[in-house]
Amino acid sequence: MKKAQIQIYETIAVLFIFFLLVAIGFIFYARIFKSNVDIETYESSQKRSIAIAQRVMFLPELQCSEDNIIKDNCIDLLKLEAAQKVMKQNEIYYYDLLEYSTVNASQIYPNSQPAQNLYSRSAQNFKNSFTTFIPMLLLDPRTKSNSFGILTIKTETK
Amino acid sequence: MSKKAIEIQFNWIFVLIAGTAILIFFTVLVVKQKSLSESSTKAVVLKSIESIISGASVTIDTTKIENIPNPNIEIGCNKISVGNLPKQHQNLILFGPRLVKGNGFIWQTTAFNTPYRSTNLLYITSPQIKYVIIGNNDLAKDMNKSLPSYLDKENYSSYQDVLQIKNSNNYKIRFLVFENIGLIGNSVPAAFTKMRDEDVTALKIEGNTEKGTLEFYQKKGSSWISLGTSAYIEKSSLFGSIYADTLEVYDCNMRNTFARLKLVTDVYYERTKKLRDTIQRQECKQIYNNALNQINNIKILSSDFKPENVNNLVSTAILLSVQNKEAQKFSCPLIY
Amino acid sequence: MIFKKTRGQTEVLGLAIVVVILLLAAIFVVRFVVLKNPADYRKDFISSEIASSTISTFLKTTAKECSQLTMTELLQDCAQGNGLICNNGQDSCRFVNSTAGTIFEKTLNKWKLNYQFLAYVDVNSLLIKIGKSCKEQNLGQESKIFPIPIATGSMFVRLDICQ
Repeated sequence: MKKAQIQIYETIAVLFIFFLLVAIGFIFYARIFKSNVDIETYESSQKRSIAIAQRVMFLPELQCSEDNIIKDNCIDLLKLEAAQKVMKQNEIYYYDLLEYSTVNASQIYPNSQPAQNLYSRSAQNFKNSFTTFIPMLLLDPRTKSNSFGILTIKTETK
Repeated sequence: MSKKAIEIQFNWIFVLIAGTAILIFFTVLVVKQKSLSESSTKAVVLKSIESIISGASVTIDTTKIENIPNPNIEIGCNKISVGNLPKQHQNLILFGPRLVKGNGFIWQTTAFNTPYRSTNLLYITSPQIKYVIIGNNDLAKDMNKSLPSYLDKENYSSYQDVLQIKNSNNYKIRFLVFENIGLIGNSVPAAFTKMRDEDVTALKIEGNTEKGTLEFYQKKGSSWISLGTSAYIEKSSLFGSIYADTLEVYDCNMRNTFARLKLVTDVYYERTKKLRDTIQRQECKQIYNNALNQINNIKILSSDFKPENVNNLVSTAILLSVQNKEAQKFSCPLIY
Repeated sequence: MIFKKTRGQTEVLGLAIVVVILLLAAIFVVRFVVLKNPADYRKDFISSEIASSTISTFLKTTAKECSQLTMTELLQDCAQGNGLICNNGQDSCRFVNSTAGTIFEKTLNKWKLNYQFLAYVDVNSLLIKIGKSCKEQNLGQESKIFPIPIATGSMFVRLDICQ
């Protein structure tokens, strides 16, 4: 009986150690998985901020055009003034496009002017925040003058 | 029984229980991992669609084929889902069939210019959906040329010729009827009567490249039933009606397109008002005054998507483009 | 007999080898999976976008103090030596140089980006040079070159954003 008991204890001990090793491996795997998820979340936030920046750059509400021929990297100043009003009145609509972000346009040359806010919606307890600066031409269609401006897009992701 | 015999039997029972426990444990682990991996694949496909939707605002007149096996994308009104992973949008503009599956999917973007660019329209379909173009008129020929070459499409001059068509194992088939024939009296081609009703659809198109009317049909048994009528404005929304195989999805996307048009029109209205108030030349002021009336009309017409509004929108857009050309003639800053 | 005595030791040695192998695998996984740095998608987008947008926007900017001519037109004048003088008394080359300096001060410098801006017909005889070469600073670069047609061929405007 003693020998049998010893054998049983030995088997139980082996099983215990085995499951302990499996549990340790599992915890290890879960930690790695979580770390991978955090990395993917960060990368996904970066991609979202790039997507939002591109959407702003190509908004028909701001883009310069001449007889429907779009000019790249250009904001029509008259449209900018109108878009400020329209976008503020329809913030909920633009949330679908711009999510939690702040979009400002400012003139650098010939003279620096204060930034004009187009859209602003902040997230509470955000995890990542990215600011993208895009140089843009500010065209006044009345005088056909082009100023050097900056479009600032700050995105916040949870 | 001897002690040894009991010992051996007990040992075996113990081994059986312990072995079963271990096997169950690992089986549960593997099954959980499998479902996790499937969810992860679906999430990757969904992310890929989301990035295409984002990119649609940036790219115009682009057609591309994505080789993602078994995408199984379901498209609804303001909603896309991959398996049990849905993504809801507020104002999604994505024309496509109810289900996109196969070896990948084809996506295409065009600009919606009525008369100024207000948004891009995004279309998605499967290379395993067959599009049968019936008709010989100018519009049919134009659409045949304009639809991407990646699509599985066939041409027939009349509906009688289509009745002989063979089933080439496509999971969906869509008939595009450009001739003035009533589908209700006609039967579904025999080769497709055994397919599921929602997989065999038809679209009757009457009009030209500027505007026209649409009637959506679906198979019921071996005959057609009408799902309803709608309208299209310019080629970009005609493409939309071809790709969207349900009236609900088409109308939903057109309502979203019109909502966007209204917002962009608000911007153009304020812009033109400012031009009228700041430009001193009388001929320019007159042009801007006329344009403001038309832009205001566009604003009113774009607040609701319906066939009457579509007709009036086209004529107003033409009037506005005349004013734009006048502005160009008199060297006034353009309206758009 | 000897084998019986050392059997336990052999078993323990076997266990120890298994543990060592497991530890090595764990170190490998930690090094390449857990300590992996997230990919920086924004860096490539920003340097490419900023280089291209800055130079294209700069070239189309009109000069208030120089008859509303664009920077492109002023650079053409500079390359061809036509001797245009702006309202502030500067010739076209100096005007573009000082305007570029002002704009890049408020943008690229403010964003802590190292850069070099060059304008030339012949790369060995620069018309305008602002900033330091990325190679001199042992940094990678994202470059955008814009050719501008002139009477005698082409001139080039180049902006290198150092990474």
